Amino acid sequence: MEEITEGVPSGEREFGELTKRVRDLIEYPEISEEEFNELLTKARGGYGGPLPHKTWSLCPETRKVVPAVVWEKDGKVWITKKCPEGMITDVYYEDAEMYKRFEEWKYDFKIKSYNVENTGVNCPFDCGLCPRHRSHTNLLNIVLTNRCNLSCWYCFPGYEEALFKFGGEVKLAKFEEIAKMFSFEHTVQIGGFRGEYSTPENLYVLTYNNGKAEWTRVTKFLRRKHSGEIMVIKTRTGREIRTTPEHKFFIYENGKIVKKRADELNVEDELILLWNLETDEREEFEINLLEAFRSLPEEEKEKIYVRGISTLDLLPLKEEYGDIIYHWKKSDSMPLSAFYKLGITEGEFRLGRDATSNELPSKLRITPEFAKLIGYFVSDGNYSNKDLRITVGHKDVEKEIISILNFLNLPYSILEWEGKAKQIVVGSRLMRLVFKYVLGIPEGAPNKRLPKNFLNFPVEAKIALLSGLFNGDGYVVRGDKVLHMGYASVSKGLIRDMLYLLASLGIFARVYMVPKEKMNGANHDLYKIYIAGTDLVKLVEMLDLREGHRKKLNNIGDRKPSKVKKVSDFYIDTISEIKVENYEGYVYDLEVENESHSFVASDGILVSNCFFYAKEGQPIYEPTLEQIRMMLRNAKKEQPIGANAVQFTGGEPTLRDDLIEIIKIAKEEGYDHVQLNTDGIRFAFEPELVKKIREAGVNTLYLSYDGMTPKTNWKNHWEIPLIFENVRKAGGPGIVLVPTTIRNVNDHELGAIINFGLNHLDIVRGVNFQPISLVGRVPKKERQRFRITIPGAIKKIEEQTNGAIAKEDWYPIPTAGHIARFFEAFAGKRYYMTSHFGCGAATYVFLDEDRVIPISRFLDVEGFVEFLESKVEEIEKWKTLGKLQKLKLGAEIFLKFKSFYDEKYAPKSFDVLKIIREAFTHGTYEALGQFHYKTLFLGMMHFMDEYNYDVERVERCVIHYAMPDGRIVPFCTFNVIPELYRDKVQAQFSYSWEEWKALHPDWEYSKDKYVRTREFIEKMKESELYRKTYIDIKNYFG
Amino acid sequence: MIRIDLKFGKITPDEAREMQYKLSLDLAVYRVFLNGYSKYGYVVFDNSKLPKEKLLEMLKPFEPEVISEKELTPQELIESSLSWKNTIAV
Repeated sequence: MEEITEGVPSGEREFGELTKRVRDLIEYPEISEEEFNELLTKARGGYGGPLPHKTWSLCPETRKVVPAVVWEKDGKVWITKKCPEGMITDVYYEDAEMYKRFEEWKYDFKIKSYNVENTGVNCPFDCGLCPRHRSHTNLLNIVLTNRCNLSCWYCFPGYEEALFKFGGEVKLAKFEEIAKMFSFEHTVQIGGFRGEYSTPENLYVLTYNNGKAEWTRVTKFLRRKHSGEIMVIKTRTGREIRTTPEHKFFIYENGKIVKKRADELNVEDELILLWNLETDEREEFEINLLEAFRSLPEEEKEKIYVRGISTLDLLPLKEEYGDIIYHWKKSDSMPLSAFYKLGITEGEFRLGRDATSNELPSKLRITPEFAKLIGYFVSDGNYSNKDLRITVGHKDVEKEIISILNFLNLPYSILEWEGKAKQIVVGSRLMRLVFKYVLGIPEGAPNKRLPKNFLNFPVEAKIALLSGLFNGDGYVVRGDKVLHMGYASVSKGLIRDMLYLLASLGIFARVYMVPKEKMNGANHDLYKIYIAGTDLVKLVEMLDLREGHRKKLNNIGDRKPSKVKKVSDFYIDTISEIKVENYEGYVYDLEVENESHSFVASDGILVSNCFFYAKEGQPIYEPTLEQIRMMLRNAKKEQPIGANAVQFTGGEPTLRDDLIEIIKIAKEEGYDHVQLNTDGIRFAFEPELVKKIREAGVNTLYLSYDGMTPKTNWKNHWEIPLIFENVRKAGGPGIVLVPTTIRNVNDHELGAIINFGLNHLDIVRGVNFQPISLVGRVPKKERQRFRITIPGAIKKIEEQTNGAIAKEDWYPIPTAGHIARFFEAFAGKRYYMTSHFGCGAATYVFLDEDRVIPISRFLDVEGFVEFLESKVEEIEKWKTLGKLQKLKLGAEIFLKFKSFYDEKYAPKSFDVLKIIREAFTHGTYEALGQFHYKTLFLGMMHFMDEYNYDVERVERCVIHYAMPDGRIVPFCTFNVIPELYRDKVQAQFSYSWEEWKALHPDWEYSKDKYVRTREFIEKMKESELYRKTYIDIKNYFG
Repeated sequence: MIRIDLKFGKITPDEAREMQYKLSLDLAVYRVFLNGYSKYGYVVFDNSKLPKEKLLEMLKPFEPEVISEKELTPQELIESSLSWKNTIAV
């Protein structure tokens, strides 16, 4: 049984699980630039035509419109173009034979009206419709809202770190550590993932603001569970970061900053990293040990005493402790645990430990001397079970440490064993607790870190800390042409801390790693920081280095600046390696206030913040009723044929409260076919709404349906039974199931989806498969893995239906268009479907008792359509013909139809011929409605993306979006070039967040989100309705 | 909102397309067409968000000459885009 995913459906977890295994892959051919140029020379242009064929395409990154070649190899059809970003090839059509068969049915057209004043010479940047466009609007799409009830999000693993400022204190902390401060009281679902978040009061991270590193407030701190891949990105200067594959990075590209997902990054991409960090200038930094010691283990607290308490009132403790309080007062010393019960938070005291005379002030100042001692300890120190020990290898270092200990009045001794390095033992158990628990310096060399709050130290203390570090484990490398200072550690965390420490002093450093395999006997990788050039000069001037270093660094001379491109506080660094690891556990993300939506994480890498909650605070796009009417009328009055079908889409269109009015407007404007593109979730819980939309005039619910399981159909698997029931009760509308088809994700369920549709034929009119359009920058390996084209899906269907629906049973859209045109003519409407032959495919299957019979098995479709074409002029005059003329034409068509009809293979349970005869001889279009209950329409529409973009297809697109600025734009420009069309026009015509809230004071963004509860899922699983919908169904392809 | 019609002294088809793309990104621009073949173009834009001078500066490499300029409202722009107002003679 699948694990239940409750919350707002989003699909990310399901997608992650589904894509763990790769069932098959399309191998893309490599083609050199020379081979491409040769093909281009041979290729001919013009619609259709033999392969290789010349067309135009779009470059994904630079957006250049470039020549492209559609060509054949290994039985498949490919599209290749040369972009500034390189040669790009994608699969255009997986079956060359089908491509050629479909190409024979190409049909061209020309519209006689336009909406933008241009020639179309800059297609696809001239869209509107331009005068060059070749198809009228068969289906008009109108976006009713950008609000959505589902969601998408990306995160960091818990052990990843970022620089945080909380309550004025700056620290480099793990996300899981910061998470402990929050209760995650809010839940959210984004893109199928359930998560939680808190809204911090006083948490800040660094962001990029025109090159300056500035603090920005964290508005949400989020977490969710993740099981799957994590991307590990490494750069040339040794920085490293881990994120989920979807997390976005800022990339420096052609002088601009753009965003890319982690799984879209390539080696040689340029990331933006922090090198300079300005921290608050403090003159001193104190640690309140009394507060800090609260988190000590109890057994340690028991042994600590607070001194200087003689003036305090201890009477409140008498009841618990008895007369001993008088002894405490007299001896001016009391146990720490008892002191806490007094509730005193201010005051100067001294702290001591059992059986020792050494004391520490309750407010411990981080002086340069103390900081240097910390530096020495981090480099060469370790904890024994009682004290601190620092190994010394140099006399001057030993001398300096002893001097510091004397200055700080800390007890010490020297340990020397033959053959071993000398150790200085700092004999203060209290100081050991300070180092371990208060400064938080971990045990063990691989775990070493700087003190938790090192970035809050005053500058002199930071410099002293660095001096201690470099005097301890630092080294100088000097050769004829080389001079740098380095620091080596097996602790990656320590190196990260040092990078930030150096950044806070304005010093740039590189990091490189020596794998343990390259070092004899090594158990850990070794990380090395090195500083050279002018940064080295700066460092040497700052630090108080030991003699050995100073000698080597003598006569440092003129040094050059580091060879990195700096942009104020940031620099540009190239990716050197990208790997993938597995991770299970919580992942985290932030939403920040800053307009750049960025923050610095890990080794100083600039990343994008979370856009969860589908852009809460961002503008809302919802065209007014007047604008909708204008858009409908604009497409209706196209010449020579206006639109007659409209699909309302979103976001989620059912979120609009005025949906019924909108549907009525569509009917008023003369649209016969009104569709709703929806996830249907509202219809599951509001049966009255189903009835209302049907009565208002919706003919079809274009319903998302991506698979047969909760995993493959995360959007609405659990709600479908209720949606179906409510549609049945309302007597409609008809449902078309719409699976977005993705190779290696749900392509194994295509036959099952058709079977499902056949089992619900009373309400399901069709299944319209949509092979995936890959949004954004998608690396080649991902395209090979997920891309599926129309023939690929058709092949899967043939396999999964055991040949019941074969490749030969499908026809290109122009053929289906001829048939539709023929039937529409009976109704007195004019209709053409003149899309490019590569855009879609269709067929009808009849359910005859338990047999599934595609129309092609008993009707020579191609022959019949050819005949219809020869009679087109007469048929289009049907409505104006007299009774006798209709009878004559109808009889002629019927007889011809009969000649293409093979009774032997036709359905037996209903008389197709009789229905057709009645339609043709009596001219009753309604008679054909009987087909609805016995047939399932199967369609494929392959919407393009940047990789397989073909301008020749765009010119012939029949599915258009209306925009409130008066333009009508083809689907594949509206969505593939959103920066010019969809996103831009929505930005131009949106309500600002404040305007929207003022207009809708009772509206809350969270209320738009659908939350699927565990309770609901459990209830559905056990229900009779679920059983009837999914389980007690026939397998027609068994 | 204003519409300016332009003639260009020197512009190639590729340059025209690239510049048209770049201008189209701007939220202040509502229509733009630059024809590198005929060396003619026009831009409809909100001059309160994108000053004409700045626009002309962007087009400077192509030696633009403003041949006409007129003010229009967003509603007028939408009206002028409607299908029944833009039919192609048969």
